[in-house]
Amino acid sequence: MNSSPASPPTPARWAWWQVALLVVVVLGVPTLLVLGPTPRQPFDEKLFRLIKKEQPQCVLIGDSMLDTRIDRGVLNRISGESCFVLARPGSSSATWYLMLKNLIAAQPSPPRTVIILFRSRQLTLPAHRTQGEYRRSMEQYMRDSEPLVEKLAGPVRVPTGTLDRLVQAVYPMERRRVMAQEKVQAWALDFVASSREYAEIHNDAKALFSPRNLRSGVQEDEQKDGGSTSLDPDGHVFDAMVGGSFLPPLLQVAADKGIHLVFFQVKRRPYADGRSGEESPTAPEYTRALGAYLDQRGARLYDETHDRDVTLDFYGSGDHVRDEMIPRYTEIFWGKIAKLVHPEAAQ
Amino acid sequence: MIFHSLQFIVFLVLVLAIYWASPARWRNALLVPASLIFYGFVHPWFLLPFAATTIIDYFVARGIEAQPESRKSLVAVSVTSNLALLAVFKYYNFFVENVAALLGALHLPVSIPVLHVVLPAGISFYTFQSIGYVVDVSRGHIRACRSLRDYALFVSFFPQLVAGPIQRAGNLLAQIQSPRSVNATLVGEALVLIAWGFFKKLVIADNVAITANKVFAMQSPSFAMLWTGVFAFCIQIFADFSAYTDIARGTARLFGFELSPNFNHPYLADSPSDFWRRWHISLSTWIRDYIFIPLGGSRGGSIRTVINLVIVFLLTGIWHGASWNFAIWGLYYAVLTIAYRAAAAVVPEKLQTLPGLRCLKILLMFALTNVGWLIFREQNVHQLWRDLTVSAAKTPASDWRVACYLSTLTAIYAGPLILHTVWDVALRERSQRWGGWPRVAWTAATVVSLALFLGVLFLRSDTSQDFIYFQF
Repeated sequence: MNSSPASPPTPARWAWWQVALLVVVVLGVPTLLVLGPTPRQPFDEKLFRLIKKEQPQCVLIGDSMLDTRIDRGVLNRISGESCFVLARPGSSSATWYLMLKNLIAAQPSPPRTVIILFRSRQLTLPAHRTQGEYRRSMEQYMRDSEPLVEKLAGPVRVPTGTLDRLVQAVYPMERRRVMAQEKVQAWALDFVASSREYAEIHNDAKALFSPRNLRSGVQEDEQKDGGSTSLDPDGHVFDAMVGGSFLPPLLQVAADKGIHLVFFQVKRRPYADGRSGEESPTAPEYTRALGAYLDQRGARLYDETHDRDVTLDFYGSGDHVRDEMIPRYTEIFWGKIAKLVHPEAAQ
Repeated sequence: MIFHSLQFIVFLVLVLAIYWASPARWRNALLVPASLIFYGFVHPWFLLPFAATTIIDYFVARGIEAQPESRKSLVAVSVTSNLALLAVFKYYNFFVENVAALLGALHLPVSIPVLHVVLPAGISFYTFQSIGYVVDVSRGHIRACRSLRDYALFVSFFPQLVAGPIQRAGNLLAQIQSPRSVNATLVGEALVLIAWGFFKKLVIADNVAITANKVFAMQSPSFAMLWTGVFAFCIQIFADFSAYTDIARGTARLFGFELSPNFNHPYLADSPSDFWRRWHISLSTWIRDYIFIPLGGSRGGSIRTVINLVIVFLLTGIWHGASWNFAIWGLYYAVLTIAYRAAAAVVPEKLQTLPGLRCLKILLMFALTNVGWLIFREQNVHQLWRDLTVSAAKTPASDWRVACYLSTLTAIYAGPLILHTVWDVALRERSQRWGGWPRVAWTAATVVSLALFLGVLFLRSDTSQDFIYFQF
């Protein structure tokens, strides 16, 4: 008989099988790990409860333009109202929509007025700051399902190339990566401070690494990085873009809850003589169309772009207002917007 | 092409497949163009100075063998041509800027044109490797390479071309000229080494770099913040450079080559000399063999030794870059080495062998190494002076708290480095080859590789930076 049992693999061949097994395990196990749902940050119930507890009459929403412009204490004092500042640096219209819908309009007693500070054409750029890191920061304002955000702001990730797309398809663990990094940071914080001090340490770190503490060359680089010429694209026509933006749902959510919406277009970094900085030729036309649109729907727009009272002295890095000028700016701001917040008083 | 890019992974897999599928006699011929593609991928003109070094030194070495009586002048041709390349691409701008500044200070303003070219990556590495070869031939330590193809591969072998380790011809060229084979154990080791290299680069170095970069971007960091940044940089530069070496050595093994190591736990050094025996070993031994010993080493009396040490460390510093801080960094190590030698001569031997003293010496040397890294990292000399004189007493309380947090974060990321050091030192003899543990080797290798790979996927930094030593 010729049939003999298969000879056992030689040690060398067995070793090669082990190499292959090593590669398969190393590449395969992570693939299995990502088959489940992508984890995300939970909705920020704490913030919701804080607003509920404070029951502000007026809430201000915005990105770093708001964060570096308005001093809440000063605003409360001069307005005589209880105001709540909901500033999220790096946010955009998608986040503001989520804030308005899930944090403000969902309150048992919503505030009477919401003021949204924005720059240039941010209100009709729905996908602006909605990907990658920005997406993560939006999650804390998201409820379980946000189909409108998915529709207007696009898919969660935008692959950058064929190979990237391939890798992302096999290992969509970007979200887990960020959460793992946050865990490492939390360990470090646990080691040096109590949980009550976390926010203080974060704020101290933020202040330490703020642009005004950076070397001059680095400051310029940061300003270039934050350069938002893309916020003012010349061919971006208001009427053509508003339908696909977060502006209609923002107005709808406010109207449903009887919230008076005021939009405040901040002045971007001006020239030394106070004239407004560079803007595209079609910017005034865009602003006029925006104002008319809002008027028709019961909301108001204040355009600060060409106000000469906000001079270059107010500005720190980029379009941000310097810390020491924030109280003064807050006073100027309220002076401009009070009549829009209380139209009945103006009449 | 950089190691931590998808292009490189694709390139490596393709080259490996073709390499091992080819007949043995074609393999060197295949690796030369592959290495040139790797090197010239972004800037093809980098190949010009590279070709100049390769061709000149190949013929110089052949000339030395053909005319031994002219060997000194031929070595001079090689050294001059290589140093000329370095002078033009690396040091010219530094030189003319300083000359212009000096003449300006003497009220003799001049305008000297500067070069606006990118420094060819790895030029300091391959020029030194090539000079070493020519000197070895002139000393009769090795025969001149007959094949231009093999010599080109020796200089261009892509895993180590851009940031070393600087190879000796006696090691790499000898392997190029011999038949090579690979076995599964070597491949397994290589994969673990590469995974460890990627982990060190993408998880450790790039994450701690965030702290280091932020602190070194500050106008006037407080004492606490400054040294937090220096500590982060200390971890970053070791993780970064040793990662490159590990990936290079692992990749070379996949092709059947064994590159010399470059690190031996440098932060366990207990003296400056010990540090340089453990840090960038291929450079420090190159400088020892081709500069320090020819200068007379320690044999010419104390004054001569001091002078030799100053020359050697100054050159070591300047090798890293055309900037005053690198020169100061080199002189700093010269001063440290001289001071340690003087102390060793004065302190009684009994005291030097006290139990526990080595731990203290390691801690002291680690602190001194950090001072060195501050000098290395801070290219602005005025800022460096400000940093070295900043007082701890003026640090605000809030800075101490942030510094504690960032230092802890750095220490957490450095944890795997510490574990690896403990494991390696404690088990060195047994771990020379994990193939020596037949029962657990493959399981251990798989688990370690999987952990490293998961670490890269879960913990890698948002922003990946170039390898630090690319700029040298």
